[in-house]
Amino acid sequence: MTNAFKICIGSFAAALLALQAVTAALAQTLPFGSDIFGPPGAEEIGDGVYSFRSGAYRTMFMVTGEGVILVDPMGEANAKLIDESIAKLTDKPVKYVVYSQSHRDRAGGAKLFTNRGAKVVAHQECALNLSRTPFPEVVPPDITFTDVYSVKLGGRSMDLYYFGPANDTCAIVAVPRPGDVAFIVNVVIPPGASLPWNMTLADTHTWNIVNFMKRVEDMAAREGVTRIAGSFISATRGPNGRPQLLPGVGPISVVTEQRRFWEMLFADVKAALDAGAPSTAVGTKIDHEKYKVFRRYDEKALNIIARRVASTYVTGR
Amino acid sequence: MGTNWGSATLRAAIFFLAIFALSLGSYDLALAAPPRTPPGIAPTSVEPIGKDLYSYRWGPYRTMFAVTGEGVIVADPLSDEAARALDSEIDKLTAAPVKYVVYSHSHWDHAAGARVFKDQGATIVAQDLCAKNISETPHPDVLPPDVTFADDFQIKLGDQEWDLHYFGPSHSDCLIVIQPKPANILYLVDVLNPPFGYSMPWNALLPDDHIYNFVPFFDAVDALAKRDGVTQITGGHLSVIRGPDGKPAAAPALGPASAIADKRRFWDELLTAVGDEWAKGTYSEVIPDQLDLDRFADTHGYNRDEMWLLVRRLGSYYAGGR
Repeated sequence: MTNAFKICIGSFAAALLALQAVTAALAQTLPFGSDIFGPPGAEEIGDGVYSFRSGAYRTMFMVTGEGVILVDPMGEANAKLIDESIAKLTDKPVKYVVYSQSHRDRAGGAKLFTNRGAKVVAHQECALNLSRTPFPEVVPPDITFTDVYSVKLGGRSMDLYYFGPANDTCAIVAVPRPGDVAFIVNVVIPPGASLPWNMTLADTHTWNIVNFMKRVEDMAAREGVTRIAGSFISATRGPNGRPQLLPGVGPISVVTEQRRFWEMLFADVKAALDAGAPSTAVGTKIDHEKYKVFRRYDEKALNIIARRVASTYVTGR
Repeated sequence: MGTNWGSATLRAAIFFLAIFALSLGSYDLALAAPPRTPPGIAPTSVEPIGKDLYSYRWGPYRTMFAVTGEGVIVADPLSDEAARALDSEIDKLTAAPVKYVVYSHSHWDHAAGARVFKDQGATIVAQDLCAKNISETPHPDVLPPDVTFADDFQIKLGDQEWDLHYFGPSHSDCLIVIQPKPANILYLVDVLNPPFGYSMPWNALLPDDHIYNFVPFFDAVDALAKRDGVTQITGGHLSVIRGPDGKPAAAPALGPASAIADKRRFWDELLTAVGDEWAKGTYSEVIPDQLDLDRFADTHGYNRDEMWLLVRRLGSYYAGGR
């Protein structure tokens, strides 16, 4: 099976999940393999800064007079699509590929660009992760950093910030400069705060999640960042009842809303545990009503996420 | 697939009774409240598991300690209250102080409580990464280690020798396998709980578990057991079995070392099944609904909802690599 077909299936499945809270019945009737939101493509979200979407995934790139800085190639098939999209905007090559984290679904595919001379930049923990779990489609980084790094090209820069473990141990926040938008991977999905994309919170370091959000907020206030771009789509039901893609960019206040989601959930889980609820069933002991305002709310998902938070209280992790 | 411990329903019921007890007890430990166990099972116990070596059970948790003429070696202190209760039990056996505390890993529910031993002059030993973890996620009852090591470490006290082995990330990134001698058993925490080998994990979400190294980890433990002629293992938790009267009972602290290979086989078969489905192009979120979960119904503690969740988690592992 080709990667393109995998992505096609993945896009469809992910789209189903994205819509499950609002259009589950409709989504299930859609033709197998269809991309309900149209073909992959880029939209400008800032001066020379683009959000690229393929299926349910999003990433970002910045075009400068001397080349392109790309965040996450998102796999080999998506890398080709991104390359085609960039070629419509500039004849300059991709000079840098920045990994937002080390997960293969985001970091895979850089070879297309490194074969033409691009350098890969990532947090140093990503290099460690990729040495432990190497994948043929994931190129190890050429440049690593610990806290802050600025990729400079064509009189502009992509500023990279590390705020500790979040989703993965090496996720970073990328800010194209000049500009006011920050790309945040997986833990915040604009245009609104939501339940996490993955209810199992795989490789998510819950103990640092609130602190991570606070540090993003602090950085944004300090650096004049007013908007965020996300790594996944959000969708809703349109006026005609059909699935409708929501903007991939939202106000920075979404980070604050997302932090409040976590703070509320942590407090509710602790209260339930203190009241004697078993950690395995803690989600059934919290008031779900106030969580229904969050995108992707689903009773089962919230129960599972609450159980994961309970583990943090038990083990510290 | 697994050892026959009665009907699947009974086995699942017993497993989840134990899970329930664990989930109650685990948070209680953080609050230093008395441990709770399933009906009919004593709250605590001390059980000899080798020459001068004992398993101590505090509710649904287990640890172990060795008594020598020169002092005592204790594995996980479990909690402040558990450690004080354990200290009282040790006092019944010897007047010698606790000289070493060894953390199996850095999770609060196992590593908390060493202060009562530290006050006696004990040295706390743990793998290097446990020190980092404890500094990142501190807890007032979890003392940082005094001595850390990377791969192997040996504690000698009196006629006891504890060999500490690190085989890479598994459950937490600093979990070690403790091999007390001359008993020559292995103490394995959370990754396996004897007598059950082919069994569900305690927590299907696998929080702080490093799936990519599961099979190599068990390969390394199995190789160690075979190399050193280890035939029995002990775990970090109570296992509940059916007693002679048909009611839930505490399983003996020791179980067969064959559980190591059985657990390795469980992960290998389940990972292969999920990986094959992913390789077909099935999106990770859809895999639990595509896979025939009941194919694993013989797994000890099998419950369809829990297996759904576990497969969902493993699907993420294939999609993201972690």
